[in-house]
Amino acid sequence: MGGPVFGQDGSDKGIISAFMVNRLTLLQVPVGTRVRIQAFADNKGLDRKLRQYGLFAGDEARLLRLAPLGGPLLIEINGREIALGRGVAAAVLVETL
Amino acid sequence: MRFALVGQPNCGKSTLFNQVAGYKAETGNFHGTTVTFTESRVRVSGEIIRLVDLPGTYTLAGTNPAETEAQRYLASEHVDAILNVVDASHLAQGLELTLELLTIDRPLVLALNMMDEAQRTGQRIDGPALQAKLGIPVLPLIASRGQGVLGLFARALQEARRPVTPADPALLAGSEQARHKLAAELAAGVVTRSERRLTWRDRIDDLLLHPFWGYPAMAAILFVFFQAVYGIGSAIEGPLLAAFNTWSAALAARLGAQTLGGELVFGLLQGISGGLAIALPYLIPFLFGLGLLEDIGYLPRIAFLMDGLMHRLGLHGKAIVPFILGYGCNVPAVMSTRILEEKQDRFLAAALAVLVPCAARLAVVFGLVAFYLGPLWALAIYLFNILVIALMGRLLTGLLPEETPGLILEMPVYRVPTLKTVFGKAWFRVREFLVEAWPLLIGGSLVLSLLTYFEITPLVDRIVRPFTWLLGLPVETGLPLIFGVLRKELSLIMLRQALGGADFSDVLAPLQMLTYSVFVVFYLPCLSTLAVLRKELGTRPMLQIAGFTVLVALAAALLVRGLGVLFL
Repeated sequence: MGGPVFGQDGSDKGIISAFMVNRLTLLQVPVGTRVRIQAFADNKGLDRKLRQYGLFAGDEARLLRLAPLGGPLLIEINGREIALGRGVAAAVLVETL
Repeated sequence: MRFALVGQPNCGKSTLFNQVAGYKAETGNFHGTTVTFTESRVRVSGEIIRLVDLPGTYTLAGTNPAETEAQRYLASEHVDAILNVVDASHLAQGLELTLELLTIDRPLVLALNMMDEAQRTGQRIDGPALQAKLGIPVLPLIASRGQGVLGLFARALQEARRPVTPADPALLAGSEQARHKLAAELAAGVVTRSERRLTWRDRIDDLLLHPFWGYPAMAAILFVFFQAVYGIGSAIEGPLLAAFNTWSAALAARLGAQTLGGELVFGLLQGISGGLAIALPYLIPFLFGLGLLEDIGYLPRIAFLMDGLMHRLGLHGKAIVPFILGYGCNVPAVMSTRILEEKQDRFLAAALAVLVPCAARLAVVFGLVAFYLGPLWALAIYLFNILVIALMGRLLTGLLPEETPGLILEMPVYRVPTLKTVFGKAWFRVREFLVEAWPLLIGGSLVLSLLTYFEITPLVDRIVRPFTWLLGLPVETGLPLIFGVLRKELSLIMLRQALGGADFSDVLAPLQMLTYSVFVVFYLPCLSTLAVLRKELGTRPMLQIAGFTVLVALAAALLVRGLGVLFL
């Protein structure tokens, strides 16, 4: 989707934090929340990789659990369980349902 | 006639392949284990078919090397029919690949695998309706139990002989997004969902992936695994080794220890007993247990729990696949680094994976340390090993800074393991040991006999002396360390012979056993691993990794020696 470029240094953090000003990411919702995926923060073809695992904008998902120690999130999407690292989850923009 | 098996990761392709081809492919309840394709001949209703098992792929337009491989193959080689295996319990996702396959206009048959799993999750699939919509044959399959396999192949044979009817243009979606939508609509049209029955499989993750209890549970599972391997292994090693030692002593007395014949017979016995009494007793329960954990689906759970820690090593949890496979054998571990997208990640994962003590090194750790010092010491070596790998990961990422993408990993549902798969998998490796490693062990022992008889051994030992001296080991340990590069078990089996067949505890102090084992665990991967490193990464990275392991081994063994001198 080629989101707008935020931050002068071009780092992902800049892009993601700028998004976070007014958009919710998967990383920010509590466990058990149902969400709809809105978009992916364009992050080195991450959106493409996520699509390969069956995560598309418009899909509904539920946050099942969080691994400790900065570990991944486990989400349920289309009846499957997928673990996403926090860096990845931070690039998934969602709305709660 | 050649058929290709195509499907998404973890859809049960390899299980199907093994059902018809005998045990050739590595299956696991874990995606990314099949990275090269295996071809096998099968006979279906009198016809010989060459069946190719392609790496699991989510899409034909893949980004990681495993996915590109499948794509390249289907595009280039002549395939008479494509068997598309789909996990019926996740039909919508699977159909995305099917829709992509429809675009290449080859004879195509769709197998809805894991029908039992779909039923368990309360889904009923209208096969005929799906067949009508897709315009290709759709057949039900439960590959793990062999149900529907024959019908599938018979149907594929029919299709292969028939001209292909072009796919319905309405099914040819232009973009991934459009395909996703279309696949979801198709699935929604043929799947009726009833109330999902919650079973122990849905509840068990509440404990096993619990943010706190998940870790004690993991520790307990691994501990039981470890204890079982030790318990079974040592119960066999003890009496068997004692018997061999008696025979070997009796034979030596008869033939005279100083004659060439005597030396050779002695070497032969050492080689045979080493494989039979020291390596196999631990290897078999270990491989069986690993296969069991893999088939149940617990391994990705370890990845989930450990990802946070792995991240601190600069790796993401996906790199846990090479790690865990590494405990079986480093060769598939290095091969599986292909599932990582970044070259940097692959180098890093491979460099660390070869530090993982494989089943061959397990023989050294168990046969020497666990047997003489107790299983807790062996466990300590394994924990120390993980610590060193963590430290090295940290160090290497510091040297090769590049951001790693985060983990994306599918968590498969737990499956009741099928003994056929688990046995088959264990046998696959045991057979490899019997036909490849064991003869080498016996050969190595014979060579050592010759070297001893012609008094060349001291010369070799002297060359390696700087290392053995530094580690506080007897001079005689030099040769076994060199031979260990051929096969890691040789480091133990030849050690016994080099020490004159004496009981280890008479010749080696406990600290020396520890230092020796630690060095063996880390230094140079075996020849086969070096070869596969070269194939996967290139000559320079292979040499870099080899040099790196020697440095790590020296540092780790010296640390153990230093700590031992201080505290033991």
